[in-house]
Amino acid sequence: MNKEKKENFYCSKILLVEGLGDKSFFEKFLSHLNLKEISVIKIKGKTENLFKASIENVFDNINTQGKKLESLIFIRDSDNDDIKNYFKDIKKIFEEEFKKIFEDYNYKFSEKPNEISNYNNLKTGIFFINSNLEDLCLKSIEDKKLLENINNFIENNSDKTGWKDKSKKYLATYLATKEKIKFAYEPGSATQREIINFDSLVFEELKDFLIQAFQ
Amino acid sequence: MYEEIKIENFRGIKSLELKDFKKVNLFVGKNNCGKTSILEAIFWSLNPLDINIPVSLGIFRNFHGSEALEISNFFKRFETSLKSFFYRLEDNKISISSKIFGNKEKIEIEPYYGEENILDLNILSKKGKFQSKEVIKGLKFNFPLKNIDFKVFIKNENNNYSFVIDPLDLNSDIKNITTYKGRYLNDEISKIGDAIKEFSDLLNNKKEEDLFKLLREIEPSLEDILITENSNLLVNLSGIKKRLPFEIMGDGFKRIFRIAVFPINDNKTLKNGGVLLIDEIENGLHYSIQKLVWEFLIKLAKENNFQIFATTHSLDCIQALMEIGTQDSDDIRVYKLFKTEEDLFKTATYNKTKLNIALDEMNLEIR
Repeated sequence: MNKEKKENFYCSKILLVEGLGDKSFFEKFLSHLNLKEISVIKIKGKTENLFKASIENVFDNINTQGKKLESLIFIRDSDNDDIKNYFKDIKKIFEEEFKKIFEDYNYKFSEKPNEISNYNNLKTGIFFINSNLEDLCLKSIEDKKLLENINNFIENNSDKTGWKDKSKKYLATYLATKEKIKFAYEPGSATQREIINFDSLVFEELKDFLIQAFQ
Repeated sequence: MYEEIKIENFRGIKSLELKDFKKVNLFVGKNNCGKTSILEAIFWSLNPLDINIPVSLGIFRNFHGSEALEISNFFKRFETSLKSFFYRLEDNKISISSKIFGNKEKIEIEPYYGEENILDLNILSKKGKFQSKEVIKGLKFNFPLKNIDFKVFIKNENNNYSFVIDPLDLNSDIKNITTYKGRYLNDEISKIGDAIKEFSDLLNNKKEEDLFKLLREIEPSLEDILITENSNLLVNLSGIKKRLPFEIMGDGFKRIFRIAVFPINDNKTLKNGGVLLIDEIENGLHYSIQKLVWEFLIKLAKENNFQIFATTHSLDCIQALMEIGTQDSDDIRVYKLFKTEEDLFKTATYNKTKLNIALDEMNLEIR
């Protein structure tokens, strides 16, 4: 069991992400964009049941603090899934769970991926990162020579990282060149060590989406 | 099975509805959010014809205190405790609707001020605490679904107090009312005096070994516990030549003794459909043994077919409950309660999957 200090969502603006690495990344990114008072919550999204239970927890937590929700945003990797259908499924779960808990709340969720809906003072949106967050971080790296060397290193050495995902493997190796740390392998670690350049153009679409959602 | 409840104007609860109760139900929430009041409402609704319940509920809340040893003080304090049943101490009718074993039940309770209250006024106004309307003599009960009304009140004649039921010939109507079985445990009611009586029965029925087995989890050297002629408990620990007075044992040991002795012994009120209510179940228990206590109670509840309702503030207690590998994980529910400034309730219900995600994955505060 997790014995860390438990957290409530103290803010009326909620950003949902998958995993601790993404949570650290977005906390840093939001702070870089000077967007404040946003709770970044990590949820479980691997199966529909776990996702549903996570969303129910999110809404319950808001409801049992007597809060009025201002923004509800979910950002996840697209992982080359069929985004159109995936968006439809996620939106349906959001709407069903929302209705269950906030019976009287008049709302309307965004109709398309990567778009913000602003209805009755509630902003909603689901953003799919093209491929995944690791890939986006890699694209932001300007030292192309180093990336090439990493590529050669990975191609010519047996894999000891355990990562199946190619982007994760690349990013982990890249981060290992930056600092002598054992587990600097994810976007969260990178942002904590200020290795990622948030001003890179690759983050532009994500940046616009976040500003629209939370400003 | 106690399935659902709707409570109105009771204690601090203006209105609250809870559904889908399971075998084990744990209420969590901040101080003063109504957890104990829910247990009390469930307890009262099980057997509303039991006129001792309003008294018991006052005792559970320690309304009477040590002053109650003197009979007139008891009744003065009792009147205060009657008033405290009503939301904001106002005269709004208490209503408790429930569904138990598929039967819809409803009780309504109003304050009863008496036809003439001069005698009581003389006594109580000496302290200047009450105005005439504020002196509650008793309670008026109504069962709208059964078309039955009656009053229970305190009669005071020259400082001789007695309980009166009106009408006196209520008995014929009472036969039509189904009542259910329940046992309420909190720190007040499970004081050692009552526990000794239960323990004595346990010894007579040779059922003490389950209790000892549980107690050995925190005191492995326990051999047995005996009752003296003066109704004191003596604890026999291996390696110690003399038997020790029960009082010197640790708080956890004593608390487990009190929690466990009632349900082990209580075949009358719990077996086959009874309800065990435990307020602040974690009190005095180290987190490492809370899981053992839950395991013990759930095993007993399954063997004897009773339902458990409990309250807690403790995250350890919630986690301990969730760690228990019950075959049917849908047997357990946790209800988080939140009271708004308008005294309305927001509730969240957790099954095992949802709670594990909230605690382990999302690291949420759910107490």
